[in-house]
Amino acid sequence: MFGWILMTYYQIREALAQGGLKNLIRKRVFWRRTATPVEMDLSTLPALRDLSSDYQFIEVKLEGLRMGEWSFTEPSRCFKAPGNLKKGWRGFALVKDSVVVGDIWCITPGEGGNSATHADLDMLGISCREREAYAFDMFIDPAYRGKNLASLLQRSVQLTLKMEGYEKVYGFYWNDNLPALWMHRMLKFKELPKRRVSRFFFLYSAQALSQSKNSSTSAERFPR
Amino acid sequence: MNTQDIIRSFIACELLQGTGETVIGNDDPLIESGIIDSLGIMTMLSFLEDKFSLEIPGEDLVPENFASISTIAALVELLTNK
Repeated sequence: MFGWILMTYYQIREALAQGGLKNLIRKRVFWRRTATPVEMDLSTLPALRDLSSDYQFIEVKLEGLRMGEWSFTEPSRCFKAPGNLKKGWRGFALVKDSVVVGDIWCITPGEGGNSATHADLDMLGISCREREAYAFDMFIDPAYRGKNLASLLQRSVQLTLKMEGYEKVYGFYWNDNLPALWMHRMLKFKELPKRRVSRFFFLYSAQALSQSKNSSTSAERFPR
Repeated sequence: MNTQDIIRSFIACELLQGTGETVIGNDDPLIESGIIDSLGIMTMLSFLEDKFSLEIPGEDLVPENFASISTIAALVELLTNK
């Protein structure tokens, strides 16, 4: 509980520092926002290119956190990690000089004995089966953005899961998040039917968006 | 300046933040070379929409359309002639 309070405190502080109060509220209260669920067939995954030796790809483990093997640039990510791991979620990260510069979380709810799940799945209308995973909550340190690390992190996770026998990875992006949209399209994710989501703090509603509404233009869909 | 030269000039000045000495060919790969990444696409999109007074639909925001100066110019011309 104390960890959750600390994490929330730092999340609020960081969100305020990055975009102010309006930005903070906009993440938690919105009306009819469009989300695009995506999937990646791991059997068709291309080889990883340009794996820079500057960054080490690791799986985040509780032991490593306890031993202080890595530090996080954003305190909220540091406080979030142990709680996520205790829920049965898996974390992966890119590390440079023992500092986590980006991380992403993942669940494999279809695996035998693993009951870990995530509220996003219901919101997105996705059901993970055996050998399928859902990757979410990717974060790249603002100082390291623009270096293609999001793609590197995503692809590294996909290759890891593929080597473990997984066949598919799901995810999603908000349509008004242009960098996320671009990254998913660059990585050739298959786009699933869009969802329209409304949220009021912990409450949300989601519904499938009809096909005819998918073709709306940039002014509405990509406010900048 | 034609559309391709306008785009070339923008890339050299804004995305490469160069002095104008960098020469980018019409068919040079912009994505593979890292010129247009997830942040570069935002800058490029704002520029195209302002400069050419057009709106780029979401379905046209695909890597194929932003692969080179030629493909971006073709997209601009397609959308301006619509």
